[in-house]
Amino acid sequence: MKLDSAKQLLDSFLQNVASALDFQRVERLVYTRPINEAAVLLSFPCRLDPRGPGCFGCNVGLRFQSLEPFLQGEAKPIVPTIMMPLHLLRENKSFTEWQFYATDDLERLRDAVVRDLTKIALPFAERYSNLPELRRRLESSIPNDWFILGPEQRLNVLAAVQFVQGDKPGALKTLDDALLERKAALPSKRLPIEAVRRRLGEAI
Amino acid sequence: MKRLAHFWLLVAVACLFGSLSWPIQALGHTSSPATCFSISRYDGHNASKIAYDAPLLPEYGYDSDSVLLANEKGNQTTRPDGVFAKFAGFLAAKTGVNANRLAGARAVDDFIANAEANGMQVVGRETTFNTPFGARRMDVILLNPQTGSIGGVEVKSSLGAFKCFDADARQQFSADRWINTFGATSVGEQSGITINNTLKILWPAPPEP
Repeated sequence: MKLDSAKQLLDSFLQNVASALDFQRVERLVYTRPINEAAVLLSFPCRLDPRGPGCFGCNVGLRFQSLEPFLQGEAKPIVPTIMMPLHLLRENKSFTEWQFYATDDLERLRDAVVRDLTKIALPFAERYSNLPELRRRLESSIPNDWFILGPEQRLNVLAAVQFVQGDKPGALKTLDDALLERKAALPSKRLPIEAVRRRLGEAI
Repeated sequence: MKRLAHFWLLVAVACLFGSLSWPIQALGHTSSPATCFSISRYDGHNASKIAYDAPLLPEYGYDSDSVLLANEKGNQTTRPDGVFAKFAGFLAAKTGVNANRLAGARAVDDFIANAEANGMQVVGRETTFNTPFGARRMDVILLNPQTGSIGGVEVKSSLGAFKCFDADARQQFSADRWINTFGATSVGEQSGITINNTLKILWPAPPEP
């Protein structure tokens, strides 16, 4: 089995699973459906293990169309605003992947995949698909609450939420304070914040 | 009449050696242990059936690429056992490459287990980032839940791979420097992971179970 054929096999299986949950295919292994103020994105990264099997996991993303013009400019619609790997939403958080060799294996995994999507992924998406709840979580001082956003990305998303909710001065202050803190930091820590600051400034 | 008898004798000898040419060819390849393994293994079985049985491939030390290619070539012959004799050198070479890949996979698994045991979280595996120096695929993406920082880790399972500085390694090095300086966001099915640091580590593979 080659990676491309593994992905094709997986895609045809997942298309069936996702459509049963009202998801539509955006591109190979990426499916979406609207939910509250966002669109939920289910993406299934797939790799070929040298020992033989195809391995796949699931990432649950939320894309807030109202925030995207400030955050990523013209990014492709499959890029989520926030995202969590499914295994980090489970109790033990350890990295796990489903494995398959052929269609039969995937059929055997169907119940487990559907169960995880309905019991873990969709409740997560439902809970954080509105801006007030997203903001509340991002305002937390505990890094573990920031989904898998780094410190800079978290501030960017938080500022964009503040801006869209009408707190424009607050949004600019969030970013200005962050830039001041990172005055001597590497460009990787300043440039993303500067880009969002510029877009917010232009939108006023 | 005597000349004709000699002619037929020569034909008979030629046929005899012709029929023995395959075993001789096979024996000629047994200098490599991997080759010897592949011939002896597949001689006793229906090669084409086993070759396509994907779950068994790693047990025999093959990856799917090598076996599929051998079978494609094998379609031109009616002797599946001869296929492996004929392409034994090729298979041996591929098996060596596969051994490195298997060791690499074991090393990454072991590294992940250790990272998680020490409080790190794994965000993704084999995640791709675009840079001006080409795509960079990191083995593991780690998240430190205490600080929220996310980084990419390249696991090298041997000192040779770790110290290697060929064209591929230089591309990785350049892409890593770019990510460490300017950051990058993942693409493809794992879109949306932003990292601004990478590191390459030497993590020898644990012995095979």
